[in-house]
Amino acid sequence: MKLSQETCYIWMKLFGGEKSAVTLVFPRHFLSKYKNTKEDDYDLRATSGRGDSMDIQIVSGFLGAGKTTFLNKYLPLLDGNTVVIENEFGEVGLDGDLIQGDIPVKELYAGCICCSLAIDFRRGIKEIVEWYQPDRIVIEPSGVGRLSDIVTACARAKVKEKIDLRITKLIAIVDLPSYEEYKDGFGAFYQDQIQHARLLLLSNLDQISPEEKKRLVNELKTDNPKAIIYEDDWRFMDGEALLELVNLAEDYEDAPEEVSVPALPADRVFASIAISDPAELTEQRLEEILDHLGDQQYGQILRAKGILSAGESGLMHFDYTPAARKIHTIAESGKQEREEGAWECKVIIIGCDLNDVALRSLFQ
Amino acid sequence: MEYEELKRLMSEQKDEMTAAERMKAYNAGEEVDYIPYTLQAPDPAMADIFGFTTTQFAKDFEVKSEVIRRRKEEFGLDSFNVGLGLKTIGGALGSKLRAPEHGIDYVEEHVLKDYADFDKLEVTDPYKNPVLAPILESAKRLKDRFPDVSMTTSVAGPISTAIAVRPVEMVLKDTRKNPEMLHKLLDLTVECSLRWFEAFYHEFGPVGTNFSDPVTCMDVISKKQFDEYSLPYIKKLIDGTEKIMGSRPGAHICGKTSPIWGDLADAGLFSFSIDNCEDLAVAKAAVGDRMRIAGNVPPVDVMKEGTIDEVIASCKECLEKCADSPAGFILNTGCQLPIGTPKANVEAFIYAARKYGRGARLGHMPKGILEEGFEN
Repeated sequence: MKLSQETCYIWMKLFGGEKSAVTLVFPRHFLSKYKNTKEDDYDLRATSGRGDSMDIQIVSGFLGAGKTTFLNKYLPLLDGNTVVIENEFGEVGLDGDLIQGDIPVKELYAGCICCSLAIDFRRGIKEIVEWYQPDRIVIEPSGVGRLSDIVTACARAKVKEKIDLRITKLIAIVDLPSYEEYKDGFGAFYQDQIQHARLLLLSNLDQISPEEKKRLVNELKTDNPKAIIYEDDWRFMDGEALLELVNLAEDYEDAPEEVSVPALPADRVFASIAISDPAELTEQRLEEILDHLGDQQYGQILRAKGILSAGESGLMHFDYTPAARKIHTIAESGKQEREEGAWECKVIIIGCDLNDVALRSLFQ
Repeated sequence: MEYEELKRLMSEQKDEMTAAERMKAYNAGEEVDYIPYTLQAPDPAMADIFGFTTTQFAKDFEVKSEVIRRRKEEFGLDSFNVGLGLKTIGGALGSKLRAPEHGIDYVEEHVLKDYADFDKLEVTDPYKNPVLAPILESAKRLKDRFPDVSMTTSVAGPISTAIAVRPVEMVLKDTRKNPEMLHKLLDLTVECSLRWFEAFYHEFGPVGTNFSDPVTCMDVISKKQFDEYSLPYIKKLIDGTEKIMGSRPGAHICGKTSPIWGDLADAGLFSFSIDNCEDLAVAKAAVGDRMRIAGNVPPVDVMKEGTIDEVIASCKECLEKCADSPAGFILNTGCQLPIGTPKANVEAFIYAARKYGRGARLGHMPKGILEEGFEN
């Protein structure tokens, strides 16, 4: 059975003075990458919502940071029904294959950030919920919007419109080479985006030297010591690794005032490794490898997961955290799926100071 | 209090002066019947209250006339503004605007995404430009229809006008990457605005003016950006307006503005309408002797969504904090009156202005506050 995803894109402007908006809906974009899951089956797809509440994720960043590139990469990875609220009408560059014909359905009006925005935004969220009952809304606010304003507006939608929603992921994408210049030059909105994010993704890394990058990442850490910072180029990140990374970032509503995840290390500058052609292993060998993942020589591994071939026995999947590990053998029915290419053998690892060479040699 | 009670109490209040008489006496330092009040950019909300859409209000002369007549009759708002909105000059220069049937217009496509096109832009002529000429024409017809109601006009501030010509993020980026072209763009926006005021003066003589400049707040630009890209053009707009009209304009800026209050007063702004995120008492202490202050009942939480009692309490609080500001005070909303504001809340606002603003005099606490109990 293939899993369908219905994605709606809604454009609205969330900036002062630019009172606007237009809604475009793109129905039924089908994602068929992964098999639907049974209870015992393993699924690489990540879900970040909890219970039946609608999940709200916010992706902010200034012009040139790569928000659209991020959404083009991220949205197809999500399961369930997603509605995207975009900031700028007519200036959206989401990939054509995510958009299959536009059907205007409803206009939303966003007033200036200090007055009507809250009302129109709330009403907009309410209408989306009533019409689409999505599993999640991903909001891309205007590049000059304050992340904290959008969070407040969502929180008010929950209370005033009695919408069962959970604000979860607050992501900011930072044009790292321009970081100091923008921080110094722009109004409060810019720092607001950085300081309220729970996950910071860095862009345009190829424009700066490693030393410069290190210095700027340290500055970002000082400005937001609580956020997870992904230090590599997220554009080249394996999809599942990206989902894992997003999942590692704390949900806003778990700690609205302060980030507090004891399981995460103090240094939250993360990297990831994706191994796309792992070697065939026995279950016993896999267990041995997982026993050693905590060794210092590999770096600090926070999360590892994957699917590997166990030869004639079929497929195994594993799931590793510093506190727990699980290995499952995928049922007989999985074999056929595998032959059809529905499952891909792959290992992803996320952590700090990862020893790329050593980790690859473990699995290859 | 219930609405019936509010109506009963209001029926006992009497207007002794027209708005124009009140303002003239207030400016002269005389005691007035009650504090001057206004509602920030109320046209869309007023159209909504009287059962019209914003598009009907914008396009249908009879609807516009009806709204002006009724808001004078029912709310005592006996002046009207025929001005340029935040995006009008952007539209006049070639940006594509779109207005929903009932809501606020927005820029669908900016005309200046590439500065290579800058030379194609010309200072707009209010008599010939297809966006501006009908607005000027409508002002003439309204003045004919309401010869005794005072008419004002308005424009958007320089940097707020600029973002209707070029997308806001590009304008902000220009402050770092392309200052030269941004200066040219800002210069052009001020030229267009002053050309509008000139045409207005030519048709109607001197009128009151103001500008809204939501981008010039510290949430969007830094103080450094303000000093370099906003203040010089605001100054040019103020000086130019004074030269044309013989009086200095007022302004409304949304959001956080306390770091620039002193600059605005130095630039010669006559009055400043302050957002409800700022504190009127702080503003009074900082610049109250140099600039008239207007504000700042919260538009959403109080005017649109509050109760009658909450509106009254908020108006009273504003008066207690700032009604004795040395250069004067106008009771106002902290930002645009939102569409969907109930009529009862507008009435509660007026009731509170009359009750607690009774016996107002420039630089003094109104008798209404002194006699009804001063809480702060």
